[in-house]
Amino acid sequence: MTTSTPGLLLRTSELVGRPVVTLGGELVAEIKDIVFESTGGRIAGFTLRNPGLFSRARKDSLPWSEVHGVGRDAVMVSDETVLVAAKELAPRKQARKADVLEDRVLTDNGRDLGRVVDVVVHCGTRLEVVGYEVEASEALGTAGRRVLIPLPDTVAVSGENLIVPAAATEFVSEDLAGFGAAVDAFRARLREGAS
Amino acid sequence: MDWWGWLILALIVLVVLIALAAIIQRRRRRGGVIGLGDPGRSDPR
Repeated sequence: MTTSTPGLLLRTSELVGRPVVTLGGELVAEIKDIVFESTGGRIAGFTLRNPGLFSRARKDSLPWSEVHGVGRDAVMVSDETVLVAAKELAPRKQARKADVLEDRVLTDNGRDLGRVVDVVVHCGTRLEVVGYEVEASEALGTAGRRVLIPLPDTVAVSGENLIVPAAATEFVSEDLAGFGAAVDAFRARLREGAS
Repeated sequence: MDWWGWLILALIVLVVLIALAAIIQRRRRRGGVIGLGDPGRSDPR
């Protein structure tokens, strides 16, 4: 597995709709959902839909292990045979419940930070979830504005509320430019606290 | 009801259906970000 844009931070909304293309040049599908593992935040793969305005969801999905590369304009795979049944990646019932978009973010001391509008992933040798973009509540002092909240290595995603350590509020960013450093500093702080 | 009454009713129904279809399609195309609590749980075998 290789990626063509190492060290890049991007929003998952930029991945949705990106075409999946074989190395032979054939357009296979478009990215529909991003599926990640809450332990470690690694991207497990993508659910797919057929290309086109009124396209339907496909019954197959693309595991991350079969992605050849993620580029600016397309996700590359070796060929169409690498796709697996969608239920192997995320059963439909589970997927409906576990979508983090629109969920509320709470700190572990009970402050409501806002509603998730997007998710930030780090695109290196692998894709990893590193933050939420939230429509901030008054608790952050920037009510209504979109801000980026860093995440620890392990993300709590069960239920309708997403829990983050209270220290995350000290590392909030307003744009992606400085967010990578904020994530590193936040995680270093958590490791210091744990040791 | 006169024929124009049925016509107006049909147009209203049509507009509602188009609006619903647009909303549903917009939600479907937005995509999602799905967090799996336990990586092993996704395998039904």
